[in-house]
Amino acid sequence: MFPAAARAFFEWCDGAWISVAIRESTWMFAVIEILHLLGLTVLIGSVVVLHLRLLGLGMRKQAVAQLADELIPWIRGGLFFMIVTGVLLFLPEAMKCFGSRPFFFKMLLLTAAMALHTAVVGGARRATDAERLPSWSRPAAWLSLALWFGVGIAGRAIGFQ
Amino acid sequence: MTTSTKIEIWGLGLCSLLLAAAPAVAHHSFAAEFDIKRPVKLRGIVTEMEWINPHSWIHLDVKDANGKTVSWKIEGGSPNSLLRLGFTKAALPKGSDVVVEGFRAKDGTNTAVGQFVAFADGRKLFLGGSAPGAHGEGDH
Amino acid sequence: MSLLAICESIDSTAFSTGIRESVWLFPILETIHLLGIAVSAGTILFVDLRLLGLCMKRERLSDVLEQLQPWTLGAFLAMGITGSLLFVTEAVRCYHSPFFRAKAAMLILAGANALLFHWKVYPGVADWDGMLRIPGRARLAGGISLTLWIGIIAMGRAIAYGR
Repeated sequence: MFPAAARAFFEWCDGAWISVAIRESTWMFAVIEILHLLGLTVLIGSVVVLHLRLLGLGMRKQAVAQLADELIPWIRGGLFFMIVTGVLLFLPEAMKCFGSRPFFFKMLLLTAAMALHTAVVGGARRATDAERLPSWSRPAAWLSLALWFGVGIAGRAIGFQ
Repeated sequence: MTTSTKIEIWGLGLCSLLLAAAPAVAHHSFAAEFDIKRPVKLRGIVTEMEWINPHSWIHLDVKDANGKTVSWKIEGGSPNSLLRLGFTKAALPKGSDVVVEGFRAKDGTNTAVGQFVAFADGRKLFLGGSAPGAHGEGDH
Repeated sequence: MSLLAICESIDSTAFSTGIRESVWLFPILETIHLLGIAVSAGTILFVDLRLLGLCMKRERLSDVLEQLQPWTLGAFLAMGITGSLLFVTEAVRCYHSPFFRAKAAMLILAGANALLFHWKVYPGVADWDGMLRIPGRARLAGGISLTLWIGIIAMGRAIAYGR
């Protein structure tokens, strides 16, 4: 589903020295995959805790802005870690990813999730003591959660293809 | 110490822990388990088809160069993957005389990951697993 | 009846075969199990981080623990159900797998750590609830929990290797 014009880029990735190294190693891919899974726990874990508050489903004793402040470093750190490990998983399997529908959708959902996340988190940080979150906050939080879980589902589908 | 520094330290600690365990961990990407430089073309009789998750397995009795019958095990995709490629449970009954193309396992056993199964009448069934070309997409 | 014999009889049931050969059920179970990691271990992560003084520093431990607990427990229930159903599809393979054995052992240890914490350490929470640097035993429980869950997740993924 990726445009044909992108093929050359994927081929270049596939042939890069690091791709070859990971591909020919007996253990590298496995270890990176496990790290990616641990990063998922941190990223989605912190996203879930923040969203529970935004949706009024949990952690209600704390102010939204305070919780957002404390969780954002972990969301950011988790996301950074996921991107690094994700790239290292992509590189040795670049051509497989090029032809993979789940991978295409994962990238689409990830882009959407990150874009919406910026808005959601921005809104959370600006929440005042009066705790009147803007009316778009709740539907945005649901959508955000759905997108992040969608990324996870698509990611798993790549492996099962 | 800032929070981000602590996060980095924990991250590094975890990585070292896992890397220490690495030799004990086997592998599961196509490239780590199967050898793209050792393609196989196996002609044989299907003795069993395991239609199971997470990977299906085709058991094939193949006559080697000396005329001796050797048992091969071919990995395919999940039932879900197979069905989406038009490969039903009834498609490969026991006793079928087929040719399987794929890549040999790196551990040297008579195991391979299959790309497709070809019948005498020219039909091809792609196996939808981790091998390049297993979805009928042509050259890797 | 030996453990291996029990696993063999599990594998031979129609129930086991049904899931093992399913087109959609198995992928769905695996997906729920995967996302469940994020909710179950993910919420425990933040309780452990609070115990270790690394996150939620302005909140009391009891506030973090008690508010996340319903979600943690719900997610663990889902993990237990999906995990058991996945186990049932390949009981013998799990029996022989060093990774499954390690995961099972660590799950038991994590459970024991949690029970011990709730029985022996948590009742005294009022004394150290608001502290950033929580005293010894509670902090230790958090560190042990964190380490074990990292191991459980890693071993869980590793079970799939070497099929």
